Amino acid sequence: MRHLKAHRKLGRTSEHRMSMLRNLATSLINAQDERIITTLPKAKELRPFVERAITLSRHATNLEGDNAEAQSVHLRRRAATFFHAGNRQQKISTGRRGPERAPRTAGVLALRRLFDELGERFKDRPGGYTRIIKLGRRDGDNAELAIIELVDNRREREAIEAANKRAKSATSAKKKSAKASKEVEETGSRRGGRKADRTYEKEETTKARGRGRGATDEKTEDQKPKGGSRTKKTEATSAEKDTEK
Amino acid sequence: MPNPKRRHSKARTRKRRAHDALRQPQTSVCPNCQEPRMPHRVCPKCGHYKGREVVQVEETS
Repeated sequence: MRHLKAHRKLGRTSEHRMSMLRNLATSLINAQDERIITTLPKAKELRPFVERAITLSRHATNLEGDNAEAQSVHLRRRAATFFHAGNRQQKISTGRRGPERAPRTAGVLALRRLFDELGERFKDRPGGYTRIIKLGRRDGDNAELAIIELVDNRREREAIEAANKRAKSATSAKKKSAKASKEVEETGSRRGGRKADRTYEKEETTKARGRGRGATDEKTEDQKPKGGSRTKKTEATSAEKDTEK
Repeated sequence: MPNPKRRHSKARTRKRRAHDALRQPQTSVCPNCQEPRMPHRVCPKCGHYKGREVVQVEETS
């Protein structure tokens, strides 16, 4: 039975698995656009893993009391277990024998970014800091791929801003045409109320057709709405279609 | 060694295989480009998902 088997092993020993999850978490946080493409099972395993780390950083943003300093250090150390510690010794040891390599401190960078940026960003978000989007299957091994990304990233914020701008400019442009379309909308929404329609049409038609009809207005009143209402209906339906779109 | 006792008729073979047909995978239509795509997945043609998200850079080949 699958009872109490909460996680995937991903075909690795526990050391290998932990190492890989740390690498994935580091990559996700350090990535330029805050997203990585992996297989779907890895993404699904990574999600609770990084989100726990992010929650720790989130808690660090609203510490109070005398031991706030100590607590923030403690949180940082707890979060550090989600990343590789970095290898500052490496530069020295390999420097003698061969060409110098950059120190492996990506995990340290990720931790710093986690507490400096992400904690503040997700301060008011109760979990759910990541999003997984399925991509379909990969050529070669047919593995299901997915994007895992941090929510509320730069690209998203820019998209929202752009949308807001567009909406603003659209509303200012619409204002002129709004008056004309409003009249149509009103008649469309008041389909059942024929009386209201009739009085409205009467005004309009009298204005449009001038005084000549003024005398015969009372007689033709019963006939007029027929033709008038037909055109109104087509207008209303077209308006409705627009709103449906 | 095990050996077949009787001849295996075509009808038997075909009856067995009557249920072996594979089904076409379910697809839905991408609301952005009207191409078929797998449901709940990014459209491979235009890279859209859930309306706004351009997830991939569109490939021009």
